[in-house]
Amino acid sequence: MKSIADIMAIRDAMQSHVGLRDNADAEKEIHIVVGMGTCGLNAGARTVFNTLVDAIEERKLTGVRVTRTGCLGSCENEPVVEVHVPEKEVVTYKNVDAAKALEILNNIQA
Amino acid sequence: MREISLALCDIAQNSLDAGARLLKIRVWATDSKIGFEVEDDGEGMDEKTLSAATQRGTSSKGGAGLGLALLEEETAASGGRLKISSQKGTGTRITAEYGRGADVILGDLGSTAVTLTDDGYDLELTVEMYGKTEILDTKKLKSASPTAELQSRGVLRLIREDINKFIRQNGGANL
Repeated sequence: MKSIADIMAIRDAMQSHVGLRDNADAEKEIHIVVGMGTCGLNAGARTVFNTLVDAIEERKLTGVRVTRTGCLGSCENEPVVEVHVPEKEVVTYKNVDAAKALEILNNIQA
Repeated sequence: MREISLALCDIAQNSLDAGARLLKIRVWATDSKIGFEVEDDGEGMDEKTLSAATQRGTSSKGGAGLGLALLEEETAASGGRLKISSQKGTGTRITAEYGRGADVILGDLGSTAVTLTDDGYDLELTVEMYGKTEILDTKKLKSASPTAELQSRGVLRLIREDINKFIRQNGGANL
């Protein structure tokens, strides 16, 4: 591993544009949930998850959070991604790959 | 083909569901074996649940219940083993080891580490490649700075790159 000092230095540099999550208003946060049960994982959900994590960093998006969950109950449509925007209906995307994940982010930003 | 890193992602979700606050994961590759161990401090299983854990159709989360059953079949077929020990209220430990003839790779362990770090529990991930060892301890990262926010995405990317580089550079380029 890089030393802790290295990672912390990079983290500090990141914070200038990431914004401290502690201060974010959780109620206004957009929440992206990736289904990562056995079915999702084998269909490529981990790649989708990592693509979203990277893109949120690269685009310096604040107020957007990615987490995973288990099987979302429609295994044939995996990887499945849900987008929770406060006070709006949940939007569910199916058969998501890396390219589609980036499109989902585009829609959120639009 | 079985990707150990994907299996880890899956098993860690069970630990998360079991309320684990600490996951100790070890992954290793030697000339004769390739394997992993996951130890959590979650709610654990009672004896009855434990004895049924590797039977097809046993699931903690309403799924098909094939995960551990397949793992047991695969490891046994390769000349390896699957061992599960668990105690109600204490936690669970799963050890899986394959013979090197098996159709098994480590896979993208870095991406799995990102996912697991993001899960929020403390993670101690030890990677042993032909005797060389790399350790990721997210608790150390957190304690190094009280305001540390590991989910700041740059940190997660670094974790992924470092782990995959370590594996590549220590005989794991084709693993």
